[in-house]
Order: sequence, then structure tokens, then C-alpha cells
Amino acid sequence: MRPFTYVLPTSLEQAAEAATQPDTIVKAAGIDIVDRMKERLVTPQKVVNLLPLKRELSQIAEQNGEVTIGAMVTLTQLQEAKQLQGRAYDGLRRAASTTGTPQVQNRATVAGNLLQFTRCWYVRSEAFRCLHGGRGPTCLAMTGDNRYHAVMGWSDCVRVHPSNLAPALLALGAEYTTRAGEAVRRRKLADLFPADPRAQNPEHTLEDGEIVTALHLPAQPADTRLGYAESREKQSFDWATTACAVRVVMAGGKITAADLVLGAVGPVPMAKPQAAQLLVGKEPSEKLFLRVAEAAFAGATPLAFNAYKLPIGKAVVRAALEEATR
Amino acid sequence: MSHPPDRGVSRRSFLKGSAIAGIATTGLTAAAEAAELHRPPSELGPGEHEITLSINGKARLVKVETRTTLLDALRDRLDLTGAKKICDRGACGGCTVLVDDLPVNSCLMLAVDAVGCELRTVEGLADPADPKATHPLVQNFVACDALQCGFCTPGMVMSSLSCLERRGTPTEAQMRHDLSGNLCRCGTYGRVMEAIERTAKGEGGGR
Amino acid sequence: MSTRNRDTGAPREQVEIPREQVEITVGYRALPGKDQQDRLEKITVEPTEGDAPPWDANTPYKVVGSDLDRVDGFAKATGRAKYAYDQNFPDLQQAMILRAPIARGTLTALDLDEARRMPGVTAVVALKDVGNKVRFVGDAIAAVAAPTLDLARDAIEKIRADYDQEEHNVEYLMSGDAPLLSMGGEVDDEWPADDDIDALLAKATHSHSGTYRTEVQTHSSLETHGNVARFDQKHLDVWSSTQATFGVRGELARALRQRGVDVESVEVHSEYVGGGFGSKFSAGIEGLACCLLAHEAQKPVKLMLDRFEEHTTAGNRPSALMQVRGALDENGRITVWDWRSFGGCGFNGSGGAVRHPSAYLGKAKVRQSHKDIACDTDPARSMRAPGYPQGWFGAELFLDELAAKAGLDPLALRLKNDDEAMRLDQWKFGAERFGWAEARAKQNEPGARYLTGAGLASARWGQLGNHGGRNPHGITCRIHNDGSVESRSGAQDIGTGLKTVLTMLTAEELGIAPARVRATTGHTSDPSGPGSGGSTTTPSLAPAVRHAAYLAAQKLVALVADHLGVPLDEVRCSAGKVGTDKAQLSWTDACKLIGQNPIEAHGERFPNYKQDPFHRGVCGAQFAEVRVDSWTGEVQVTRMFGIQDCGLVIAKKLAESQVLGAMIQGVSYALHEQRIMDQRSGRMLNGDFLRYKITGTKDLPALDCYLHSVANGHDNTGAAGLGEPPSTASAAAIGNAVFHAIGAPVRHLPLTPDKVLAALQKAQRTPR
Repeated sequence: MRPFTYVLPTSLEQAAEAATQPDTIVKAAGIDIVDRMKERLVTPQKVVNLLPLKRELSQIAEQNGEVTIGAMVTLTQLQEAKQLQGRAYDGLRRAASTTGTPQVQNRATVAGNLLQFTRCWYVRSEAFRCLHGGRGPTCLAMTGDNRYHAVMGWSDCVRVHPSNLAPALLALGAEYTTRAGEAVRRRKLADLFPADPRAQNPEHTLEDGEIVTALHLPAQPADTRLGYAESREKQSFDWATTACAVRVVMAGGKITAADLVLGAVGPVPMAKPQAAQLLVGKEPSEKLFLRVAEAAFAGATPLAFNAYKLPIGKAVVRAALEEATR
Repeated sequence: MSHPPDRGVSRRSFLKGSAIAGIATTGLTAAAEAAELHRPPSELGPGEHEITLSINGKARLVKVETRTTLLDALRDRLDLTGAKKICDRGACGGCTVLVDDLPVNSCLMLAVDAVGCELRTVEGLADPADPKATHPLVQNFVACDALQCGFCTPGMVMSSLSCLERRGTPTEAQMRHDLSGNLCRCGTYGRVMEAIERTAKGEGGGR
Repeated sequence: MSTRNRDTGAPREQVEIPREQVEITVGYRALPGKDQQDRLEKITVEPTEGDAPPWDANTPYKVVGSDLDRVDGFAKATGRAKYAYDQNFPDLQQAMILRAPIARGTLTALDLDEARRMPGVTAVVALKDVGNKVRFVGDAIAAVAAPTLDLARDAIEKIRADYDQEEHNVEYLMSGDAPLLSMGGEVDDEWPADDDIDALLAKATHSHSGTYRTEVQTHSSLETHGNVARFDQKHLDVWSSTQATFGVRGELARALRQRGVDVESVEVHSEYVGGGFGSKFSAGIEGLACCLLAHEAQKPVKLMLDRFEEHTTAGNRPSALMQVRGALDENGRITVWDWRSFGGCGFNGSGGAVRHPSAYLGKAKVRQSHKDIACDTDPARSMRAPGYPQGWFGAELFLDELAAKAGLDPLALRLKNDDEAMRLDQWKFGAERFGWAEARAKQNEPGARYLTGAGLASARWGQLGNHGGRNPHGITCRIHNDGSVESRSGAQDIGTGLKTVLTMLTAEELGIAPARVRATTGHTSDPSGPGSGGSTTTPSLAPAVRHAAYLAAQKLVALVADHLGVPLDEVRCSAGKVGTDKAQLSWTDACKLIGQNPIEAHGERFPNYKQDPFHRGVCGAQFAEVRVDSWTGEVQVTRMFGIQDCGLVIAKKLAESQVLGAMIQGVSYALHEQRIMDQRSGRMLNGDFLRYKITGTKDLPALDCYLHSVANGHDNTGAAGLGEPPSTASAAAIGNAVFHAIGAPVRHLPLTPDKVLAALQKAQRTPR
């Protein structure tokens, strides 16, 4: 890390104010940021530390079925929260429990997980000059070793969004609240990720100085289930090679509503409404799941070394569906 | 709101006042907290400053930069070398210490962020002057030979300790999960789990 | 042989003394289970005069073979063990190396001035001169010392280095020297003609061919390479993370001669070492840099590699490409074995040798060739059983494919071909203990998501201990008048348990409780020992430990005989007493006869009795069961069993740990580990523990092992080292189990989901 000035706010107002200063970044636990600062990829003059606001920003509350999750709730707290114990949240807890390591889960925050940078090995190494972040002329992964990269949704940068939580939260229809200066805004979680995830667009759409303060999970209908599955090369601490979160609402043995989001396959979490729509009004069956899986990966554009993600990703969709409808 | 570059206080008194309190809100009364809200944000660094860390129940003064990790502060500045630097990126668990009873990677935590937290390191599990004070988990690590080169062991011990404290009698699946952030190159995993099991059963004597 | 008697200092007689012949019993008692029997035989050996009398299969051990705790376990489990990385001194400087960003070229400019001028920087040294070649990404250019590592890194950024870059290649299979591969991954080059081989293949009942590959594995010792160096005038203390204390001492003394340093003025300390696995025999450029910085700064300096440097500059197990043809006759005997292999090495183009299990090939016409292929990467180094896990994976999987063609059970094929009598017993025992027949008979349900399978492989290592050549290994044993005993070796304990071995052997020889013995290792001021390589440390040192204790005991015995007025030759040390059957002193009382100066004896490692009088190598066998997710290609090793010839089992618990640990490392090698290089930049992409994947607890199989204690008649103790032997088999057994589970071989390690799924799809629905 390069030397920096550490700003310790005593209120959210102060943090939001300080965050607008030039050459300033905001940090919570710092799992992702400290790692990039060690690589000297991020070299801010000032770091605004949100940890003094931890108490304020790490509440979990439920009201009329809507669950509000403070931005600084840790992944461990998320798994243990009494408000998130039903089947509607199974997949969310599972996604949190497969993230990083237990040590990481004890500090990493929900918002930090959503805002983390890609794990692309070209982007995250100081030695490479790639298009991402404007450090070089081309996407090095596109023509280099891209075994862990995107198979859909990419244009000039083939990074994948690494968050396990994002697909689960998106499938649940989450929203998020931010603070920017005096302004408080609440939007759909999908808006947190760029609609056109090009190299020059960062992983998220926050403006400079905008701070995520909470996530909101809308009230779920009776018998909502959230399935989550992922593929990985190793069970202990690894990133998913593909992931899928699927929310289904069951009634009378049929699926009455569904959302399906893929993770680790594109530069942003990839919602698949058309594939999800195939589920609506149907009884769960292997045949149906296979069709949905095919649809979820329809039009995929794998790279030289990651076509394997397609069959595996389809299997993961099927596994998530089985889990949700079991 | 502007940021006064210097408010005429020495670094040290400055830190002992607002900065530490700013982090350690849990130690403040409600009235003091309300007063804190109206203070301007405090700033630290760059450059060295002194902070107080609570380690194994003792307050320790240590000079750090803002960029100094907790691991470097422990190892290089306090000579607490039990926690190891192995990957320095939160992937191996060798630097695991308990922060407010939870295992974390001290390599990914800034030392200043640990102000106000209760830190426990492997050194706190035994007192060379009083062998009876050795934690039974340590005894069981030795009895089960849950170590070879020993370099991952302090981190393994701390993850195991947290597993026991949180779960009482952990299942095998829980042990596998709780240790999944600790790498061992010699291959001691099975024996580490045996050591946890024996400790849960009350074997190993000690305190 | 030493020409000086270390105890008396008197010149040893140069004339050849006729050696006394001793009859000993070697071999082993029947393994548990069906159809097993004692395999004991009497042989005659000729110990060197003055050596401790040989132990053999009939020796009644009190301490040896017991489950004594690791003697330094407490220090390690409490974080008090101080590794090189943990050395702290007042005013200690932290150092870092500037690494070349290019894979091949020339250093054309190097400007250290700005770094030197940085506040706090205490030393800056160049490690290459302008005009020197750069051989790989990470080649060392210069080094900096400063009070903190962050400051050292700041200073590194101020160094200006320019390079004349040349074209590079970091993939050995892309080299002009490499054989051509087909799209399917088979070697495309014609086999050289050979009439015998061609004829045997043509007339064979069953023949087969295949190409097998493994990838580069890094040692990934958890303590990185590095040193702390401190000069005091001309005296240099170095705390080194090494598996060869004496090697490092000599190397540094040679390199620093111009600074007035010689071997006598260098002391290396390695009391604790955080793993080595074959990569830490040399001080390396980082060791030299550390000393140069300490010399310039006139302050102690610590220079430890970071994880990326460790992966990319500190050695690795090379990759391998193996092509095999072979055939069986109608009796299932291997008739022909045609093998050529290629090793993917670093820039120096050596060290890639691949071994194959010759014990199966006694009746076969064998042809073998090997070629190392250079590319612009960090050179290979020996890694735990160099050449074996690679070759065993290829050969044992080939044999299972051949067995499948012939309709033979893999175990049956081994039993028909294995020439090692000991392993035949081990195969039978292991198959029974593992439940081989049941595991092989399990049928996977048609359409089932999870497929199970079982595989096996042999383990082998050819080396035991040695006496150390012109400078024999030694041990110091001291008995103090308070009854405490020291056993000291300057060799290092890299986690294998040398301190515990010293303790137990000394206690056994002196007939006392191990708690009385304190073992010290890793300081070059103590007697020299081997580098910890080739599983030789324990078998090389154990006989010297015994000899030292034996000589010390003789001195104590003399005091006691004199004190009690009994004949010297009737006095023994045993069961905590010293004396004859009739008159004895307790150990404590006996030691009170010792004066202020302790009894001190120097034990010597004499030459081995004969070259392997009893058996030809260290044998073992391993079995693995896997569960493959046929949807995702993910492999979980569910359980493994290994039986391992250990020679004399000294420290039971530690020996088990080492065998189990080797199996876990094998799981990791089989399923996860590979260095991934970026061809364009020549840089490793996964030079961390995020994407360089090592098995963790969630990937851990249920493991069990059986220590096969064998009196091998090799020297006065008959120990075997256990670093290498169990490491040969594990990945091969897992590869075979995956073949069994999915009905198709995956011929390329690691067995990652993409490859497993591809093989599965290729073999689609072929019922087995």
C-alpha cells in the first residue's frame, strides 16, 4: 500500500461529505480494497473508513415482510440472521456461506461483496496494462487465458462479476439505498450494475462519493423458495466458475412465479427473465429444468478456454431448480 | 464541510482522543456518542502514529502507519510472531487471529481498524511460566500430532478455537467449514479435526 | 571415512581392520489379514568397528515405535517456535527484491540512485549488472532494505531498470524441441522403429497406447524462502528457511569471500522451517541479497519472498508429457513397455526427468527415453519424489486402461506383474483393508448424478540413508550430571520430526525416558548432517544418533563400573538404571558420578552395511475411492487407504502424519494444482493462493494408513525416510479411481471439472 490519510467519520453525513473529496475512496472491511491497495492498483490520497459507522449500518430489520439489511452486515451475520431463516432465503444464506473463507465472511460486508471488483487475473495484477480501468489498449483476457472469464454479456472486456450474493439478492427482487451528500436514493438492485458493462464502466454504477447504506428484500409470497447452486474447482475457498440463483413461488404443486439470475458468467450478474418465464405455470420436472437451463445459456458466447462453463452452468441451473422445488 | 488539515494537536494526543473513540463507539456512553456526531471527522496519517491495541487482555501501545496491517503490527512491531504471513491476501488463514471472538485474516485488516477490538492471538493460549494454564486445544494439537512443519498451526489453532467456542461440540461438516479458510501444505487437516473433537469431549486437561 | 577419532582426537589407524560379522534377522512379521505370513530371514552384516550393534527384527524396543508426542509440538502449537520469518532484532531492516518484468532479454540500464536517496532506505544492492541476461519473469535485478516492508516497496518503485526484450516462450510444448500433439492431445510423432518392440506389440493378446500429461506444481511451502542476516564484524549469523543448513553455510561463505567471510565465520540457524518439499536446498539469490544488504546497512536484514515470488522464482515440480505403448500376453503379463517422456523445465532445461514403475516390468521388453525441454521460466527443482508422481500417474493409468481392455481387474494385473515380494503382501493386505472388491463391484445407477469409482497405485522409493561421504554426518550426545541428556544435530527439521527422532533413539539407546532428552537441530555449530532431500535425513542420521548415545553410555558405564566395583562388560543402561543384574544405580544417581563437564560423545554415521541387503526399495500401495458429479465434472475423493513400508517405525504418530500428509498433497496434485502462465507476458497468472489451488478441509477424504515396519538390515537402525515414498502413489490412485467412476480415462492432471466433463461426454453412456 502507498501511504494514505485515513478519514474517520462520526456520522454518515460526514462520510458522504468526505467521500466526495478528490482522490478519495470509501472502505468498509476492506477485503477487496486492501487487497487492491496492496497490489498498488488503488493508490488513494484519502480513505474514508466506514467502520466507525458499523453499528448504524449493520442492522437487520423486518417490517411487513420486507427485510432491510444494513450495508455493513457481515456475511456471517447474514447467515445467522433470524429474519432470513425461511426457505425464501435458503439460497441467500448458501451464497454467503460459499463466499471466500469463514475468516472473510466474518468481516466482509454485504455491500462490499456487491461492490467488489472483478477477480480477473489481468485486471488485478499491477503487472498488466489492460483496458479495464483504462490502463491499457485491449482486454488482455479476451486473447489470453480466459478460462475463468465471461461466456455472455461481454463486449470489450470479458471480466466476470465475482459476487455470489448478487444473483441471490437479484432473484429476490432486492433494492438498495444510497447516500450521496444530502441525497438519499432507493433503487432496484439491478441498477447497481452497469447496463452496458464495458471496460471503462466500473463494476457498479455508484457515483463518486455515493455510499450504499442498506439493501431491502421485498416481502415474499407464501411458499417462496430461493435455490442457489454453483460449480467450483475446489470445495474449500474458491470462486464459483458458474452460479445460479432461482426464486420460485409454489402453489398447488405448480410454479406461479420465478426469477433466475446467473453469476460468474458475465461482467455483471445475468438475469434471465425468459428462462424464468418458462417455469411459470408448470409443475417441476427434469425435462422442464433442462429446457430452462438451455434457455438460460441460449446465445452464450464463450471464449477460447471457457466453453466448459456452458454444460457446467446448465447443470448448475438444474441443481438450483431442483433445490428450490424439492 | 471542510477538512482542517491540522487542529493544533500532537498526533499522539489526537489519537488518544477522538480517533480512538471514533472507532471504539461501543465503549462510549450515549451522551458522548451524541457529542461525537457533531465533531468533524478525524484524520490519521500518513506517517506514523501510536495506537493502543487490546491483545490477549492487555493494552499494547504500538506505532503504525495507516497502511500498516494488523498482521505487520503484531509481527514486526510487537514481536507477536505466532500469526504467520503466508499469502498476505486472505487466502490461507495463516494470519488468523480472533477479533471480538471471530476469526479474521489479520493481513487484510488495517491495524488502526483493530483499535477498540478485543484481539486474541495464539500466544494467549499458553503461558510458558505456567504449563497448567495451557489451553486443552493446544494440548490436543500436540497429542493428535495435528502439525508437521507447524507454520500453518497458529492459524489453524485459532480457527479451531473459534469453532469450539461457537459450536461447543461441532459436527464434522461444521469443522470442515470452519477450517476451510486455513491452508496446510503438510496435510494435517484430519488430525486438526481430531484435536477439536478431543477438546470438545473434554480431553487434554488444562484449564 | 573420517581419519580422526572424534572422541579422543587421536589419529585413527589407517590399516583395514577385519570387520566382525554379525547375524541379524531382517524382514517383517505377517501383516494382519488373510494369506499373510512372516517374511523373516537371517543375513550376515559387517558393521564398522566401534559402531553401535545393529538393531533387527527381534530387538525389543521400549521407546522406538511408541506414540510419543512430537517434542516441538508445543512450541509450534503456541506460536512460540521462531522460524526464520519470525526473527526480530532491534533495528531490523526489511528487504525486497526488484524483479524483472520480462521473460527474456538483457538489462540495459539500472539506476539505483533515487532509491538510495529515499529517507529511511539503509541499503540498496544490484543483483545484475547492465548487460546481464534476464531469463524469466521474476529474475532478480536489485534489492532494497528499509525499516519497514512498505518503505522498501516504495523504494523499489524508485529504481529505474530498462530492458532489451527478446521473444520468449513459457510453454514447453510450444518449443521447437517439443513433440507434436494432435488435437486430441496424443503425441503425433512416429515411434522410432524397433523390430523387437514392433513384433511384440503386433503379436500381443492385448495392446494399448496413450499420452499422459501433468502440469507444473509449485512447492508452495507455507514459509516462503528467505533469511535474516546479521553481521558482527566478520561473523555472519543467518537465520534461514532452508532444508540444508550446511549447504547454505558453504554457499554463502563462497559467495561472500570478497567481504572477508569464510565458512568458519558463518553460522546458519534453522531451528524451525516452514516446509521445503525439495525447494530449499540453496540460499539462492534472495539469501545472497539479504547478506549483501546486511553488510551494506551494517544492520540486521530480513528478506523473505512474498507469495508471488515464491511461486515464480523458488522452483517447482516440472510438467511432464508421457507417451506409452504396452501389451499383455494371454496370462496378463506385461510383455512390452515402450515409454518416452518429456519434461517441461525452466530456462536451464534440466530436472524434468520422469520415472515409471519398473517393478511391473520384469518380464517385459522395455524401451524408454526422456527429453527435457527448456522454456523461459523459473527452473524446476526437486520436489517430493522428483519425477515419480508424474510418471506414476501416466504409467498406472495406462495399466488400468490396458487392464480394462483385457478384462482384468487392476489389482489382478498388479499381482501378476509386480516383482516386489513385499508389495505383493501389501496389495493383498491393502485390498482387504480398503474393501477393494466391494468398491470395484459397486454399480453406478444408470442416469445417476454421482458416480463412484475405486483405483489403486503402487508406491516406491529407491533410497535410504548414507554416511555423508568425505565428511560423515555426526551427532553430539551429552549426558549431564543432573541426568539430562542432549542430542544435537546441525541438520534441520523441516517438519518431518527429526527432533523427535533424535529424542526417541537416544532414549532407547540409554534406556531412559524420552523426557530426559532434549534434542536440538538446525545450528551449523553442531555436527553436520545431510540436506533434507530424498527421504534421507532420518535414515542418514539415525545410526549416528545411536552411535553417539552408545559412546556416551560407554563412558557413563565406565564411571558406574568403577563406582560399583563391577566388571565393565557386565554394566548396561536399561530401564532407567545403570549397572549389572545384581548391582545398579538409578539413572539419576549414575549421572551424579559425572563431573562438572558433561559426558560428551560424537557419534558418526558409518557406511551402510551393504547396498540394500534385504530389499530393493521402499514399497507401498495406495487405494482411493472417488465420487464424480457427472453434471459438473467435480471430483471428490471420498476415502483413501495407504500401506507404507517405513523401515523401522521410530515415531509412530509422526510417521503416520507424514504418510497421511503425502496422500493429502496427492489429492491436491491430482485435483487442483497447476501453474498457469500467460504466454504473452511470460508471467504466472495464479501466483497466489487465490487461484493456485491447494486442497482444504472441505476437499479432504477420509484417510487411513498402515505403517509397515520392516527391519531392512541397511545400517544399525534400519529407518526409512517418509517424505518421498508415500508421495508417489496418491495422484495415480485417484486418476485410476476417476477412470473407474466415469468409464473414461482423464489423462491430464489436474483432474479439473472441465477435463472430467469432457472425458465423460466423450465416453457418453458407455456402460462399464
